[in-house]
Amino acid sequence: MKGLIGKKVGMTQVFSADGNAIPVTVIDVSTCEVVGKRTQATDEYTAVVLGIEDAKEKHLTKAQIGSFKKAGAKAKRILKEFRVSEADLATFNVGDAVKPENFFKVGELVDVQGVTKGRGYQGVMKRWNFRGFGQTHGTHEYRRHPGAIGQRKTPGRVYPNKKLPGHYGVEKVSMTNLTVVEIIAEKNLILVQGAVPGHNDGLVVVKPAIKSAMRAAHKAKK
Amino acid sequence: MRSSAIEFVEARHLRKDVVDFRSGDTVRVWWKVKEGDKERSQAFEGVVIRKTRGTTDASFTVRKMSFGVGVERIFPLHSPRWEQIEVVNRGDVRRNRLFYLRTLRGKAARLDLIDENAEAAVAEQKKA
Repeated sequence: MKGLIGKKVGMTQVFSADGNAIPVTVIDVSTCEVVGKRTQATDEYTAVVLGIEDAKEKHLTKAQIGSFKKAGAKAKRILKEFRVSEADLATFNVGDAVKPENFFKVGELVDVQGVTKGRGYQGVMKRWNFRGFGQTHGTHEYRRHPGAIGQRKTPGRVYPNKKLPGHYGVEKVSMTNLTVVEIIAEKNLILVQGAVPGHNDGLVVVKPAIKSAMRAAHKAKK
Repeated sequence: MRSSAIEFVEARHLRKDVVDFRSGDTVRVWWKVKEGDKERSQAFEGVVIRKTRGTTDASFTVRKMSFGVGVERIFPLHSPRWEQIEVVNRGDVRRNRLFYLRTLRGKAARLDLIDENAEAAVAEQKKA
């Protein structure tokens, strides 16, 4: 499974060839490089290690600096492994920059994973889309409340995972089946249709769409 | 602040042949229409009653009277779908959003026109 790490730049609007306006998120992969490999011989599985954002040596431990030096790659702040087949692994060279055009094609579906914006401590209406109560008709200090949270003496407790107020946001979320609208090779940008989790400058992981791939495989079986 | 990457992306989608016009001007927009597999251009002529700023999302609204019924159409300024925007004449207005035209009919809904030749003459006189 090929995938890459990118940075969410922000959203804008572009026109398709037939003149439709498409909302897109721009993902920048220009600082993404191959920093290592996991091979069957040494690690008993095969994966490629990608890194993004250059790291200063003073921010790394000696062990980290050593591992980057040994691999012959630039030090990166954020690393991520992507499992690939042995044949695919051979196409990667440590130290190479990641080229988006080698990973995805225009029109392909991708999944984009990111960490959502933090929203702090939120009530049930924002956090769980509860309906709340009427704003009028005598509602007394109970407009945005959760309502009843359980039964009576039996069971005498609140069920686990009950939807209640609490911290909302800063969760890992994947947007699935987003279309790749454009790949700008000269600037290492990927344009995907629609919104992507997280704030601008946030890190995102772009992978081929797993659900549509599974669906296609299922259809082919039939 | 807009990021340079976003500006780069948008620049690829901006049309460079956008003519200069503003609210109050009467324009003729030649809009490409697909009929089956044929394509032709259809004119929509009227007064610009709103122009929104922006990059790829900039748009303008054209209002015309069609058989006594007011018709408004919003065009994306940088859409590849218009073939040509002609400025028919320039209107003398003091605001960008001319929504007050919606309540006016007939003679009252006319705008004063800017005589460009006269303006050019004045400018020349000033120079001299």
